[in-house]
Amino acid sequence: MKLTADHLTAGYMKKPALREVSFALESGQVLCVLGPNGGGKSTLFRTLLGFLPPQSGAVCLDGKPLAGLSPARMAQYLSYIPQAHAPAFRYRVLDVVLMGRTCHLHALRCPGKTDEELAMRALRRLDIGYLAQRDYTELSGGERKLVLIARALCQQAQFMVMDEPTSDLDFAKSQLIYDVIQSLAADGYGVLLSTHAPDYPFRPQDQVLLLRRGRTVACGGSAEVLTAENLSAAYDTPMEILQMADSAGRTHRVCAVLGGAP
Amino acid sequence: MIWKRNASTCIDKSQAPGRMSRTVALLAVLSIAAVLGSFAVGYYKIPLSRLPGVLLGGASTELDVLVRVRLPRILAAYAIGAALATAGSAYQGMFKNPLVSPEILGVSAGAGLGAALSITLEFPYYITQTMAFVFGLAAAALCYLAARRVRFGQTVSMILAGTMIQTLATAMTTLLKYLADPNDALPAITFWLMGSLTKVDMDALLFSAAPMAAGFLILFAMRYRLNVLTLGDEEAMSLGIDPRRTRAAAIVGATLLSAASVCMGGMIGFVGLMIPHIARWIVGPQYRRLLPVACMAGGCYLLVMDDIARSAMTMEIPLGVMTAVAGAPFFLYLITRQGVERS
Repeated sequence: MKLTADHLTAGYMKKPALREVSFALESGQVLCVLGPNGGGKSTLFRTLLGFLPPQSGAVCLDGKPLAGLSPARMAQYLSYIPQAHAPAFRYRVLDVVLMGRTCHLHALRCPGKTDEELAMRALRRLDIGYLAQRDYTELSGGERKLVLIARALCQQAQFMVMDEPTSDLDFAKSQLIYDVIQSLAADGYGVLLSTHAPDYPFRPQDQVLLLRRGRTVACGGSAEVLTAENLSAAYDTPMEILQMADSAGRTHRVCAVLGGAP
Repeated sequence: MIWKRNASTCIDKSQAPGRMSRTVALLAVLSIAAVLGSFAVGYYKIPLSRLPGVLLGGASTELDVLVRVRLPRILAAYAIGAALATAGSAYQGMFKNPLVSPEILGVSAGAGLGAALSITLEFPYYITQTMAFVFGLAAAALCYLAARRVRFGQTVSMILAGTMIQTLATAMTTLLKYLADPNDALPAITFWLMGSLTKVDMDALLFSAAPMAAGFLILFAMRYRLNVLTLGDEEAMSLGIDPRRTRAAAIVGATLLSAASVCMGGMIGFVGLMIPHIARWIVGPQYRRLLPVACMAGGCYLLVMDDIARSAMTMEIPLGVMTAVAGAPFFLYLITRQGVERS
């Protein structure tokens, strides 16, 4: 399946926060939306998920526009992993994951045994089966993020949209989330994630969309997009790409902020 | 996994399997006991041991008291408690706020105004009940319409609109009280506003039965979706429900329950706030478990409160006062606890 955004312009009132943004994402790929705060990442995701109607342009799945779909149909294609998440009530982890089944259930039905098995399978897929009976509100930020990813797995949608999945995590836990993202892509999911810091461990096959003030700076494979010029332009600060080899001999491309006035 | 420590600790016992069926069974037994016991409570002494004899013994004054006076009152108390607790659970979820009660959309204040107007105009009791019901529904409808156009943050707009409607209705009720005849209309209004089941008879009960049944049916039918609604509009939508439509349906159900309760018993506060919290402590926030437990616990609670109200003193204590006296300290306790732990 292929998710495309076609000249998407969206925003609030008259001033669009997103102008003429296009991208294409195949299942099995990762698209990292990168850019400074206020770059239009959230607006893009809100528009993709149908929270915000586009002012022009369209979001399509295999060429068919998503706009007219019911929330239930939409949820069968796109799942969402929100950023900050503090529910008002103390749900069990298993109940949180089960809510991923909502779009597959008739309006008046409750999830049954099969749904519960799917939820447990999703938790085990992420190695957090032991959290099932815990109180969700007592989990750490990283655990919550994994539970929400499990909920998205349980939703069985081909594409996952993750809004700044690592913004509140330390770097070891960020890395773990990034590993999960790359293994989900290997399983065939299309993953869209946003981050304001370019710390995602980009692989050559990953896609990058670089946004600045709602406009596309560059879009395409990570090797072409992640250049010193593009990053410096997007963040308004001098940046460079450093190539480094670790002790095991693997090379890493690291985005470094040089600081100082441009 | 990096954070696999304390894996086995903190398991939430309240949602363990088996707890739900035990709780439901216990509440069912409590409900039956409370209903049977309540027949023996009241000014006219009929000890519990004589109940079977009176019930089977054919026409007598005692039978008359039991069937014509106590039965409707017992049914009303249980139904109102169950309805307010169910409505409160639903409102708290859809407004994502555990401190919300069924009065939030101005249903009680609206109903109070309707009743006060009817009493001032010296309409008969059934008109008062009808007007209370209609004004209660109208207040909630106004709040909903005021907030309908808001795309996101609809719930906050609705709560604000509810506060405005409550203020307006209360002000107009105060004006009516000021203008009312201090000899008969004023005490009648005051008494109605305090909440009481003294005037409940079979007709009053039948009037409220249909909207109550409809309200229960709607909320119980959508019990699973209510959970999704507590996550907020955007997340609910991404999980596959239309948050505005789902909330509209829940508001209709909860408002029917509240209006049908208020028009029968006047303003009975705190049941709808307190019982959902207690129910959540017992079985957790999952609505499949919460609604039946809140429903039965609310029924038992209000029935026992009404028994105390009509038997503790020679003069009847207004039920609204009774529930507030028992409820307010609990509410304070809740506020102080809020900072430490959400319930």
